[in-house]
Amino acid sequence: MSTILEADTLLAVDVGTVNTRVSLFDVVDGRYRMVATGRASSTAGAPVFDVREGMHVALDEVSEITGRPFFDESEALVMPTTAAGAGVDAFVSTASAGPHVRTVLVGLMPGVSMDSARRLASSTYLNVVDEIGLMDGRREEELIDAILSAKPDLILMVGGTDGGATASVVRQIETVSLATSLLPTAQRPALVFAGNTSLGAAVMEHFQDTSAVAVVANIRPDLEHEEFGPARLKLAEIVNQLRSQSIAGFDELNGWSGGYMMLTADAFGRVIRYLSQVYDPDKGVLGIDVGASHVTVAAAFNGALNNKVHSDLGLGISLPGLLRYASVSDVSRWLPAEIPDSEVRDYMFNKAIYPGTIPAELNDLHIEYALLRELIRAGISLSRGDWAEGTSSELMPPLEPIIATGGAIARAPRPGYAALALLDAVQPRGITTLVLDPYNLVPAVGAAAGLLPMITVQVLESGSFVSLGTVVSPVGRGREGKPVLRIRIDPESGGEPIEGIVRYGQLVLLPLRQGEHARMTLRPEKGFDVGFGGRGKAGALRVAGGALGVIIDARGRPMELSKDPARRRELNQKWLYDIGAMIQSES
Amino acid sequence: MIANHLPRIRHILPMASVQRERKLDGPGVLTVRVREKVQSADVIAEVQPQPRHHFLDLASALGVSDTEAARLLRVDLGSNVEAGQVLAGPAGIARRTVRAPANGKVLSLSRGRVLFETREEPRAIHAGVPGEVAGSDGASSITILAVGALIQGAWGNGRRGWGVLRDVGESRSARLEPSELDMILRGAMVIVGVVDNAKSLQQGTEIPIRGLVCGSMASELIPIALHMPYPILLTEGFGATPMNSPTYDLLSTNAGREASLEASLLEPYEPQLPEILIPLPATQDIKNPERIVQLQPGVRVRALRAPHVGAVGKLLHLMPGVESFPSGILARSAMVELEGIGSVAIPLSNMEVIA
Repeated sequence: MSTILEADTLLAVDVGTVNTRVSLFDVVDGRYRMVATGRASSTAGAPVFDVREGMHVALDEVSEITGRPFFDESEALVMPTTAAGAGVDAFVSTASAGPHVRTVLVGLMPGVSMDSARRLASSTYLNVVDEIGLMDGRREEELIDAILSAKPDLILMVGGTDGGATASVVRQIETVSLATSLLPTAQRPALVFAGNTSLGAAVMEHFQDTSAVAVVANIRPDLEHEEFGPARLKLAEIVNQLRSQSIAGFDELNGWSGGYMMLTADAFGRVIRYLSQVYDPDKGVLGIDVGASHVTVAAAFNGALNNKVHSDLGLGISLPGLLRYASVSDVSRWLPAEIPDSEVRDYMFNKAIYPGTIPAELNDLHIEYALLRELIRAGISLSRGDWAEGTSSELMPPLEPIIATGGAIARAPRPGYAALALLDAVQPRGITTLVLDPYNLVPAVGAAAGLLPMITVQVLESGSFVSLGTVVSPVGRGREGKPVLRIRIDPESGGEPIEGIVRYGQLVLLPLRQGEHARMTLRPEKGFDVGFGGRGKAGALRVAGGALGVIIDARGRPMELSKDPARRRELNQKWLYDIGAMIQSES
Repeated sequence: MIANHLPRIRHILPMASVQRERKLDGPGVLTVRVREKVQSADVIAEVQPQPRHHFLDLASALGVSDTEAARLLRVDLGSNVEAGQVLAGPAGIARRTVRAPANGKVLSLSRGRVLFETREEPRAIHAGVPGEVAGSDGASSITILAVGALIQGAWGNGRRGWGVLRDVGESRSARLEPSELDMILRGAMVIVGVVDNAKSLQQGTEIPIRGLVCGSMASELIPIALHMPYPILLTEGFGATPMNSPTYDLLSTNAGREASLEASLLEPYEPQLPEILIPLPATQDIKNPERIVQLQPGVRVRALRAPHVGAVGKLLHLMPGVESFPSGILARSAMVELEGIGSVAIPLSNMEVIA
């Protein structure tokens, strides 16, 4: 039995743009385990516009596996579990599917409240279509026309630290109020004010004859601090409301979830933040979710979470958005085979039309994983500016672990594909662990954490997540073939120690199976830093094995690809073989 | 056996009954009534373009206080005014007045300023398909019931049009050469296999053609296609994939008939997909397009990905467990008898049902 809620079984539903996933958790030997999972095409979009169709197909799969019925004769979810074993004790749901919420941001200073508003907006499923700030050069009537032509679903107003500016904020509120009053009632956007707290009453008064406005705590109460919690909750509520207006079934899921249906990104971020509090305090935790419509990058350092939802990136409908941040040749540089840029470009646009399709041919797989690398790189690059660790270095901050999820990552034909894509895209430094979430359980445990606090850690420690292995990425540059470090691995199981020299440019796998531990001793050469306090510093630590064992990535940090296309392809292919993604019969 | 899988559906129906909604994207008036018959070119509504707003500072123009400016306002708030009409005044010895800068409406008065909304000529909304007005909310939406051959596509450039279908290449894989677009195709809805040349698209504006239906197009032409004044619909997607055979057969056999082309942009949460409707006299055998179709033996499917992208065939049976593909990916699959190719295993995710 669990702590807060008396629940043995938990059903979690995540409605994505392409897939709807259902996961059933149960208590096995006193600990929560994922016992079955089902997946179906999402039916949030055309032509069905009802998330229940996809959910029922995914649930049927779980029922077939477990023999457990979930619904009664009236199609109502059975909760709590009956003596006959039907239904579940608890239900949680998350969703990332649904149309983008067209949002206008209204704030004061570009470097202060507007920046905070942008950060808040980018942490959830908002699509900012216009920004109105104090330095806006447009006349008032132009601002009114801009708001009307933006056809916003939401206007998020911020500005003024608590006890700070009021007159400028009020002027902007007047403009917004006038603009919304010109819209037919049915087309008026949701309004949220998250600025100077002392203006709350005045804001309510300005909108009393036109629209309801939600006043929440100031997201920038003073120059040094941001407080997103209350505003984020309100935005989540609005996103869910807007989805419910255009897609059937969300209300039902929300009802079964006790009114606490979460946004997938929020649930994902919750887990990443939690892990940053329980893992190595000197390192951050990085979570990457590559979906069809969004790329979510969550980075947390000692409990400080930065969660970014990039709605113009994704391995489906949003894929053409990648071309804003990367060229087709940026994608092609990761290919191990010669594929014309025109073919890569056609692939991108076809994947946007048919986001649920999978690469059946080898070249298609290569293109898909090259795209995955650039999507992750773009997502991280757009997010890093706001990380608590700062962006002073070209190198990534120390991370432990890196957790990745999303359809393409989950269906990697061999773990090496996912590992190499993550290594190339993230380019971690020092020592870290790569973890895959093949069943997309992070949002589920994040949403469940409020009800069943123990579920997060218990499911993470179960076999449902795949540890690819411990990665050692020495920082430094050298000449191809020159020694980078000496390594010794002493398995705790008492097996033969493994010793060797790793040379610059190599990608080496050393065997250490999932569940096994070993003592790893690293002696880097003078110019290389593995995270033991500087270049050339040696050290030892206890490491865990994984699907690939221990991975030594001595390709340099930052990594530089060959400028010669043929050599680059040759190396990309070699690395695929080295990491076990491809075997000799494939090429 | 029925798969635990919801497949994509593509409607390619020789005879179907469809309802198409036309929504006004701003304030306007509907000009047709329920049960009225309409042709594609008929205007069914007029919509007011997004108005522009201007603040007119009465107090400062008249040289009076804000309160006095309010007293001198000569028109009612919300009333329509003509360009040059006096809005406020006269005031002072010079008997200054403020006149309307254009036809429009005075919306509000605050702090001695009026908010003035200028009106532009309304824009006509055409039926786009011939049929009967089946419903309306009386204000912003009209539903037209149409009967004919329905062909859904994969991508559109966001435009709508109608014209007479003409098969240019006389093959589903024919490339469109600029030289093929001559004056004989003026006003035509051109059917072709593949477009890979910007000149062909531009030549279409010079004839001008009324629309282009092609199997596929090079993706580098997207920016040009989005700027073409005529609708462009791709039945397969991007690259050099020929038009699928059921679509080509249906289009080519109806060459010479008028067709309506709705080349909708890719919007996953919008109900309108890119489509061609060829109006035909109603027969007994009219189908309503289905929203959900089960994947089971006998259904007609189309392959969405390499190596057989665009090929059409009949689902023979669902395969137990998962199949391994050349990419190494394991996937639930079905054995399909593809036309001209034979029996092949295709992942369920990589096929759509033709219904």
